[in-house]
Amino acid sequence: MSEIKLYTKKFDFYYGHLKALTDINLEIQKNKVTALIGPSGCGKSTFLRSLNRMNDIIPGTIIEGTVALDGKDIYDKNIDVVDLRRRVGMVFQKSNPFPKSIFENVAYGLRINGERNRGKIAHRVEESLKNAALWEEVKDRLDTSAMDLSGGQQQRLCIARALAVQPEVILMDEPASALDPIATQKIEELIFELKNEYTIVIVTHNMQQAARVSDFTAFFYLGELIEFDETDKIFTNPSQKKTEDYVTGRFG
Amino acid sequence: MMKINWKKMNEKLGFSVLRLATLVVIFILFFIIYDIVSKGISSVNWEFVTDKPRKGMTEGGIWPAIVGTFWVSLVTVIFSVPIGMFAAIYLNEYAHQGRIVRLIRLAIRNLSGVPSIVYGLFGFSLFVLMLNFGLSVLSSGLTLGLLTLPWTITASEEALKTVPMSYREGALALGATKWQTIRSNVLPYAVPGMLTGTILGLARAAGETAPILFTGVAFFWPILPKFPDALFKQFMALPYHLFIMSTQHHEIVKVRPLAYGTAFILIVLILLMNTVAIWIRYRFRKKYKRI
Repeated sequence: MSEIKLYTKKFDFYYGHLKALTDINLEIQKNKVTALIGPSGCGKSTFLRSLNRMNDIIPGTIIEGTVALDGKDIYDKNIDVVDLRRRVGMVFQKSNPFPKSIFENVAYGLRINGERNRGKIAHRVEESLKNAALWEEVKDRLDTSAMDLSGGQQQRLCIARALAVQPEVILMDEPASALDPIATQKIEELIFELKNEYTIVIVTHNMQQAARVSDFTAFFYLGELIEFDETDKIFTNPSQKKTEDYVTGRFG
Repeated sequence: MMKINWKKMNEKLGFSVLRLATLVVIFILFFIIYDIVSKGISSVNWEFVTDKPRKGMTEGGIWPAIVGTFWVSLVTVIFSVPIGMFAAIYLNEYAHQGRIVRLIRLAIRNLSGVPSIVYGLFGFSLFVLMLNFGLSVLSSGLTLGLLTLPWTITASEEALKTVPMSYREGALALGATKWQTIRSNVLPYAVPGMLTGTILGLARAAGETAPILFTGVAFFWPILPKFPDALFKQFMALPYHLFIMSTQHHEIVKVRPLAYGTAFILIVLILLMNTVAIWIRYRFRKKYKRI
């Protein structure tokens, strides 16, 4: 029935001497949207970036415990981190299109992964832009700079760029926090569409957004996972007092 | 009422001091240029640029010195640009940012402050004597290369630092290797800055006298050697020729216009290099703002 795509077991994370995450045990189900919520500094972004080892590029970070994708420990020394990141894509909080054309942004991941066939690249770029609900807006100006797009378009471009390499999991770090309500709605609709094919983990500060888009919700507080359950349960009948206080807006 | 007046006075005084400082700088710059141009322009003509010095260097031109400076600069570029850029890429992108890298960086910054005569002495003992390159274009070029390395590395690192972290993260998150990320998403945006810094460093090296004094420059060497023989021969160079013409020549007063002419050519060459640096920076900045 439900299949576990990613899980962590007794996962601890340190920035040097500072412990940012303690004993995180979490199971992320395939083709579902899992939302990570919690106040600023609670460790949810750190946790998200641990899932594709983006924290590796920050000097002095240390992990303990297990993070496993399809049952395989991604911190095992035999794991190719480049391959891992292709399988676990990421959309950042601040949209970060490269200063290249719209086409080249989406084609980038294909090219670095060795795709040379122009026809294939063009086909996949179109498909990715369609899946990211951006095609209609940009199809006549694929050669223009991605920097000229609006904020919401840039973020959808970054999603298209992530989709182009056909990842299995997509990590989203507050993808709509810098966008207006209409652009946000588009992103949310998109997430809803995407979960048919992808497993999605999304960090969000927006409680309504978590409630709207996710199937499961994990509440983080001060580096610990307080509660993890179906989103409905978290928002209507949480088992922890802290969770209830947070989702009802009593603190955070 | 008094209070407001004081504030305005203070403001006016502050701006006046700043403006004065700027004017002093501009005045000095223009004075130098005026002095050299007015005294040197009369001796600059086609013959002066293309001819050898003649009659005990009281007549003729400075062509061998221009050629010498060119060859030495070429060696400097070939030696210091790749090493400097690669070292900067390694330090900024690959090396573990710990105590050792900080120490190396500190050492490099300090090296850029070492007096050029010390480089000359070092180049003399290393290239001329130990490696047996003799007094030559090669020894001088390498010595000047060492002199510019700290500048090249520092400028290149600064250029790399201006590339937003998000360009790197975006590429890595798509499964790019570190080298792919650097090549496609970092270097294209850093190279203009790297080149600018390098050319400015080179312009400084081209005007240096002390390092080449120890390692190969000649008082008078009118032969125009062909590449690659030139590498192992002594040479004339513009800054040293200027020094000779203004302090060591047996008829200093007579050759003074020639000395000023040499200074004029040297300044023009260096201005030209700086202009190229500015042009590159301007062009690339425009290009990457758009696409």
